[in-house]
Amino acid sequence: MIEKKIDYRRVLDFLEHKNSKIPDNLELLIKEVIKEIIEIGQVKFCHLTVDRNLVPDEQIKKNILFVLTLGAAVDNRILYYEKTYVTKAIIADAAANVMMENAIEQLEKYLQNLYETDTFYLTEIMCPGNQDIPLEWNKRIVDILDAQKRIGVHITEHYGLLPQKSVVGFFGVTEHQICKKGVKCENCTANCKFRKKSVK
Amino acid sequence: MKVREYIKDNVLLFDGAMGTMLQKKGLKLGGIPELLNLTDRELIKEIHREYLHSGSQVITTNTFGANEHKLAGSGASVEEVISAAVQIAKEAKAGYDDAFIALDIGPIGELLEPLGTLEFDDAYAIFKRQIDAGVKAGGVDIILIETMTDLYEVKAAVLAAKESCELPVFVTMSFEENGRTFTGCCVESMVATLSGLGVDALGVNCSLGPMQLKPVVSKILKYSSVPVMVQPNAGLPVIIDGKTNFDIDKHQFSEIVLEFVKAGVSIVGGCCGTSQEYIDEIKNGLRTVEKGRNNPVKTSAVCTPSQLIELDSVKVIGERINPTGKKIFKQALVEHNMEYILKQAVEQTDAGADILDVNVGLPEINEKEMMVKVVKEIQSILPVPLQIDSSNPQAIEAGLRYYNGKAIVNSVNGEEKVLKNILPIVKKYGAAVVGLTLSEEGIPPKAEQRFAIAKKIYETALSYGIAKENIFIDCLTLTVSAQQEEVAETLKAVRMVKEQLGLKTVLGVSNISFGLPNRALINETFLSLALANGLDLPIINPNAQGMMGVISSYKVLYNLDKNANQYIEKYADMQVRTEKPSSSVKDLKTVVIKGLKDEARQETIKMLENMDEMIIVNEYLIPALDIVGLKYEKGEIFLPQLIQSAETVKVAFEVIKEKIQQKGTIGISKGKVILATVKGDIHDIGKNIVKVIMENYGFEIIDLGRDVPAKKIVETAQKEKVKLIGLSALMTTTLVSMEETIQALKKSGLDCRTFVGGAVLTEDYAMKIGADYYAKDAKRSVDIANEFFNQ
Repeated sequence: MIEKKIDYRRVLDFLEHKNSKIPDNLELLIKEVIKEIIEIGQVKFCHLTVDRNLVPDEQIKKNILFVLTLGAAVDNRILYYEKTYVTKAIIADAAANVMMENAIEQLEKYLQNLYETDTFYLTEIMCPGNQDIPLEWNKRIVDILDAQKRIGVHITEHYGLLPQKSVVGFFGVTEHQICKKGVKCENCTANCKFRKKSVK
Repeated sequence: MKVREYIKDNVLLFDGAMGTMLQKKGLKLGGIPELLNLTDRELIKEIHREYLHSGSQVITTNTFGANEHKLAGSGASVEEVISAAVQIAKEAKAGYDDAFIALDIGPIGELLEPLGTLEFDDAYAIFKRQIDAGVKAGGVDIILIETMTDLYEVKAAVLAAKESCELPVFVTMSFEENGRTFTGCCVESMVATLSGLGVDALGVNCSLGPMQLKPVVSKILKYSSVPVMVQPNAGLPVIIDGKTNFDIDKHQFSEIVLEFVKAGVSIVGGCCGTSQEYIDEIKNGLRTVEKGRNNPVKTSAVCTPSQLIELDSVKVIGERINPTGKKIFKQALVEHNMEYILKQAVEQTDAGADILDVNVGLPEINEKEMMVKVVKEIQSILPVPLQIDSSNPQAIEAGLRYYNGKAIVNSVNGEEKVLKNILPIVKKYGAAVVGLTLSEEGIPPKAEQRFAIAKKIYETALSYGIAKENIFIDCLTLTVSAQQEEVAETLKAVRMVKEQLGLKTVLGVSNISFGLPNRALINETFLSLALANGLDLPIINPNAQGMMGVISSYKVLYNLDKNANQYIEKYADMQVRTEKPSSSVKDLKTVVIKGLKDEARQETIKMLENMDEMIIVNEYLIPALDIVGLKYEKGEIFLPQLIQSAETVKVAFEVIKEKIQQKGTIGISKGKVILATVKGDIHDIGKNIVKVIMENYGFEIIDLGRDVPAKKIVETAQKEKVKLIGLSALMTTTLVSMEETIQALKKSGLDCRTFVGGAVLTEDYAMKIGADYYAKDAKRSVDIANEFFNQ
């Protein structure tokens, strides 16, 4: 249900392209590698709702944990190119990152459709290693979801993810919509129908 | 009756799930179920007894995750947990005298090299510890290795089991709907490898329901002459109210499992989502169902996890990984230049080699260690099967032990001592073997004499339990310029082996033309004749287009390439290329600036005809790189273009190095640098970019890879007398390793400096942990190295 998509322009962003003209042969090469990654990549994920709050925010009632991966074949291809054709390796790495970014967006929409109602909303995505969330939580979430058995995602000794093109994270479930800017109602001046009644 | 006897003609019924049963009884998600062996043994015993009561003939101990990795931090040891688990199973079994106990071994929880960081030997030790604990507890009848997704991990577990005890070993792997495991292992490779390793049963468990497993089971039955085992999930998982449920009921489950039995599966049970009811349903069904007879196809094949090469027609073995007569290759072996060796492997597979011969025998090096290194290195990026080529039994054994899949051993011969030393190794690791038709008396002149040796090798190999389809014969290609009459004898011997013994044949074709001009013509003609006489596996240089052309046309002429489809695809677009006259001086710079990697080699060769190497480096390559670097800094080009130029320069440098080695003059290195991603960190694309750029500027890079312990970095620096070390880390959790490495280098007393880089680093932090330099990018790394070596 999650499509494999890689946007060429977004790959250029990851490759730090500004405005310079791209030679035809390089454009062809980038598109060739994008096609390769789409062909060999998989998008696999698992998710679970837990009835507790994982972060210090009293507005969050539950959390939806998820693990998503593009599979081992993408890692293998990047590894191959790192040793044989480094230009393709960096393009493949960028393409895989774009595919993952897009897959996470689709996953978010999927979970919103599944879980959001008139009374429950999802927060922004939260990932271990960001927003003061300890990287060690990678292991906890992978274990809770049994992600190794279900989609083949492993944790290294230092909480890295294997395959490398994998992501662990969670969404909070709140009773009202928290703006994507992360600002809470009491600090927000927007004219919003979801404002908590107790907050002016 | 013992298990091995029982499963020959009977169906053995295992139990169902333990994990999902425990979750139903309250085990928290993410909890360690194996600890219940210590804290709630009655619960485990109750589950075992329920399964026995439902008709299970085998109960699996609650030890799936009872390894030191998964138990770390739990307070319980592997030995405590496993001993308790086996004791519980024995107590549960009371009154069921005919029931068996299987010691359950699941995946370690860490990925093995090359994708992961766990080494094969460490995985072996982890499994051995579990198996030793289980065997010591007494009463275990079967070692069950299950839910595996990585064939290399399976191999470590199987070897640990077979080298620790005599118990039957059952192995099942988990497959996705695409017919591969998470790490890409295909069904055929699993069967070929595990059959070779001598497991007592093999098959599939978990991951999918019985319906989705039908194609997988069908394929296993097609190829496996070892009893087949199937333990599906109770369908596919479905999330209802936040909880995982499975979508197949006991009737649907049992119906399909019994179909498997009728098709020839010998061992059945259930995995996730199944319970006593499912086992009870199967037990009832087995009363009226007869186990089918499985007639597997016998094929000659070799494999890696993701690729099986069936030897059903001519397959090319690439000969280039061999130091014989190759000065540069010998140098690469002495210098441990894996990049050069890998390049030979990649070029040959790109040129169409189906299998690669690996020969690293050189008096100056440790052949056994080098064999392991090269095998691992090639397998880290290429799925092509390998032929372990050595006369050293220790090197052969080491190569086979660390090989992932099923390999060929080249070779044995008719000498008693050689057969006795090498055939047991071939048997143990499930390889195929090439037998050379020579003996203590040398190479016999006549075909009949060589045939007699072939027959002896064949019969001896059979007596060691090596299957016919794994025995290949090489009737030996002699040099026509020295032994002209015997060429026909070689061809005759090939035909005799093929027709009278029915074995696959091998020949090292290029030997035929030593000492003659126009070697290519002789090689190609001899190859044609050999193919017509039944040659299956020519060992050739696949980069020789003429030789590959002979094989392509042979396949058309012998109706193997139907409708000449492959031939047409290969040759339809062939165009004759014309040499473009070029002004070399200008072109090499342009070639570098435009990143035209494919043109670099020719341009450099042309320039070397009239110019010294150092002039080319200092007046053309380096200035071109500087132009590229400036364009990159200004944003006129971006990262891929920078790397393309860097890779182009690398090609030019390779040509220059070859020339220097031929001349025997001193190399052009500006200084040696070690690069490594620190212990615990698996990211190294940034480090690889730094490596390419630094090599461009003339630095000799010793790349230690990723997840490198401090000790290895210190030892390498000491051994290679390296004074500048670059360290990379991409995770906050591995910065500690970076600091530890820097401290270790300082403590070692080495006179060296360190530079560090990586996305999570800042200059302040770099100084704080004791680094001498902070390199924000590849160009800065070059500047640091220039500063350092020019002091």
